[in-house]
Amino acid sequence: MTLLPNLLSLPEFVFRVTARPSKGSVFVLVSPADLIDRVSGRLRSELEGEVGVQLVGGAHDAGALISAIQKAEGTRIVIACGIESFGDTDWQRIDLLRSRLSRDGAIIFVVSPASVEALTRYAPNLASWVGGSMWIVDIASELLTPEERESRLNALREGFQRSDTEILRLAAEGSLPKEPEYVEWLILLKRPDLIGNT
Amino acid sequence: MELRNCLLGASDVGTLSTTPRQIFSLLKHEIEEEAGGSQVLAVYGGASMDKGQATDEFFVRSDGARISFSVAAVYPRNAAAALRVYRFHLRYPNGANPRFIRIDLNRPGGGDALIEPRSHVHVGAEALRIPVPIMAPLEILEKVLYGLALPPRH
Repeated sequence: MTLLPNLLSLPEFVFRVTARPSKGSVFVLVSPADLIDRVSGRLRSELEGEVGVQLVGGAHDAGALISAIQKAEGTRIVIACGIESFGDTDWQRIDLLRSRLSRDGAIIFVVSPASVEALTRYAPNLASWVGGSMWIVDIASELLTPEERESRLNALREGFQRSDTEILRLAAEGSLPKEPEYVEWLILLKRPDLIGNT
Repeated sequence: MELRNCLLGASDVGTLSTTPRQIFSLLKHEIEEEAGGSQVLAVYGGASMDKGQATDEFFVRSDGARISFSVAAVYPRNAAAALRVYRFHLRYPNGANPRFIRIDLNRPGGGDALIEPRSHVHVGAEALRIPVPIMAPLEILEKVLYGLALPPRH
């Protein structure tokens, strides 16, 4: 089975999770393996402001994961992560016992590309339950692209009729105007160290 | 996150005609390291400046007014975070008077506070700066979304 989940920023993922009735929903968010802890932690902090959330991390096998999720019954959303060591038999067991994952709230699996491949291959019924609620987290989309940075710099250059060189010189001399646009200019030029100069 | 949720809420109740998808696309941030380990966080909401240019880089209220903003804060390694600057620009549709309202927080230090107070509001004129208290960015965003209706036409 070929997996082609779409890219989605983490805030947009949170928006989709909170906008949907949580009862029985299962989501999968695919993250680079080395960022799973960071993505899960941020997901929890983003969701905490909206709903009750519990992070279930580091279950050593399928049974421990199912048990931990069942214990979080009163929590609206459970984030399951740290399950990268799960092998074929763990996913098969989760698939077999998937009815135990049925709950009043939602479950979000934060997994690596390798784990989502295993989930799809060895837990096909769970994958079917997830359906289209599977995305790849796009962390970069929240950040300025090089093109967007250049576009903002161009707007500032044209708006103030000044060059980057002049801005850096004025900042180094301590005579840069105080307006917020000039601070943005320095940050866009990756020279926030000059902001404090007066 | 607070600013984003505020914008999404405004879209949800119809105060903004900007869709959630556009809101996610218009909100950007970056983090830069300063010497000494401090981090500077910049949040951008829409265009850098609003000079009346025809672009879609703005949050648009359902009454036609448009909003852009930027906020920068510093997070020192061993001290509380501090706001450095912000800019919230509300531009009314053509024909309105005043044409715009902009609430600015300049970077601190120096200058003549009578002429250019650090925290000020421009009401339709770049050179006119009325001092106002420093506010939380969320407070200002709520103000430009809900608290500054279109001026009456004469």
